[in-house]
Amino acid sequence: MKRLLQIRITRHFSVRALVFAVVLLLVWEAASATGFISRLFFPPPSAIVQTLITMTLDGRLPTHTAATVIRISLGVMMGIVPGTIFGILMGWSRRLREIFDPIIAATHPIPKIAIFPLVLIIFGIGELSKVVVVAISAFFPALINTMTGVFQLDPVYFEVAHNYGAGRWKTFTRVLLPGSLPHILSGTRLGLNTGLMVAIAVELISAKTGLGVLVWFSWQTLRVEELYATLVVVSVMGMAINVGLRWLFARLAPWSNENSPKTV
Amino acid sequence: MIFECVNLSLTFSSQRPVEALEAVNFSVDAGEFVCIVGPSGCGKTTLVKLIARLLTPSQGNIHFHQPPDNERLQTAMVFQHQGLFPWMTVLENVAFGLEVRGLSREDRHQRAMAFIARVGLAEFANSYPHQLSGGMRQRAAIMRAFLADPEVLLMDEPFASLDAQTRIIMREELLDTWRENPKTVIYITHDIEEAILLGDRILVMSGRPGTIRADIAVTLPRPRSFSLRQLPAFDAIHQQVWHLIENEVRQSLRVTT
Repeated sequence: MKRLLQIRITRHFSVRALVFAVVLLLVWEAASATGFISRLFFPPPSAIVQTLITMTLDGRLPTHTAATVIRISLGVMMGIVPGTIFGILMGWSRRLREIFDPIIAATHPIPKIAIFPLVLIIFGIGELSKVVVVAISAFFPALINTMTGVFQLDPVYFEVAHNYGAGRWKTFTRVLLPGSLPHILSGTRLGLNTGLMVAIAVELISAKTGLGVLVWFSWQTLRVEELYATLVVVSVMGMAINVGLRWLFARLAPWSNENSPKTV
Repeated sequence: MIFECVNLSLTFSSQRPVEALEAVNFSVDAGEFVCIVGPSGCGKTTLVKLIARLLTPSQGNIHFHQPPDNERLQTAMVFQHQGLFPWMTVLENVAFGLEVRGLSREDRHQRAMAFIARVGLAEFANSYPHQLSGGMRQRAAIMRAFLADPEVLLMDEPFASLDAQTRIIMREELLDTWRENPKTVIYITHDIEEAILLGDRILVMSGRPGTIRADIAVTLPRPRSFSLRQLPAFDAIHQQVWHLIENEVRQSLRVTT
């Protein structure tokens, strides 16, 4: 038995963890079914699964999930790409860093959801505003991580490159870029996670489609099972992002010990 | 003569200017193995970085006998640590010099493989540096420098972070490689024994500001090995060098404690 518990399904996930999760669900199921905890707040997992199936079949979950996924994909793209490029430039040039550091230090701590009203004024009530807020929220982690990755790169690597006669382009493609890749990738991961959070939050406030809308609607109509079912989907999305990126990490940066990013 | 340093000085200009090197003069003949010995902080690394043109002297010059050409590197340096790129495999690392020179992938990998195999790293060719021991990493770094075929090979305490036993083996290996691929070598170390074992000549440095105190010829026969230490001539040189730097080491200890 002890042996069995220690088997690892993946590097980050063991049989022990799986057993614990199943036990927890069973306890929840029993407690809810016997009325030990209120069915109203904590419907049994079996009912939530039932609701998940119903909502999938009637098309609500697929539609709203698709809306959220598109929003996150577009927004995160629009945030991570410029964030990474700008991060490389700022990591590379001390002058740029000196100029922009205060601005970033001042704007970064603002919860991005608080910018949403401003974005609404500028971009109007529509899809664009939501995507822009997601983009802004993904921009910062990508920028800051990439910048750190570039300027913390051990100078000895640049000395080696220079000593062997590497020009600017060679140094960029063979030293700077791969050297900061682990940080760039963790910026991407943080950007995606933040993007997911902000996308859902924006949908809570103002949207017609999306998982956030579904969450809010099920609260207003007090359909607790639907609320849980939607949250399950959000959770699965978050896990999929992290599992996918972990796979990508191992592919792109097999040398890095950052290959096991901590989950947020 | 392959190159000479003339009146080489370097002052680091910060808030309080630090004179790192002052009026360093010496010349090196082609094929010579020159060891530079000195207490820590005497400017050994600074000197070798000047020769590698990673630093620019405030005064003086380094004259290479051959004018620089694009085909051949003047210097290739083996660093004390972190010399290998963690994101490249051993093979890519060793072939880096050739890659910069624009050799085709197949060509450079074939030539790198021959060097890698010679030091017994063939089965690690596609491993990343972090999967190797410290000794293996330095082997690869040294092979990279030899393969790049520079006019002068610079080594900045390449074995300093290795354990004593590994160091003994690595020195002998280095001598073997050097015999098979004759090259002018400037080798920095703080280990007097190492300097005698490896060098044709020992330049003894003293610090603050760094200058060359003595230029000692090591006329012990080659090929050399660890057993060289039993010769009386070895002892004589050892004492001569130690005598030159002893005072400074004592003084630096007094200052810092």
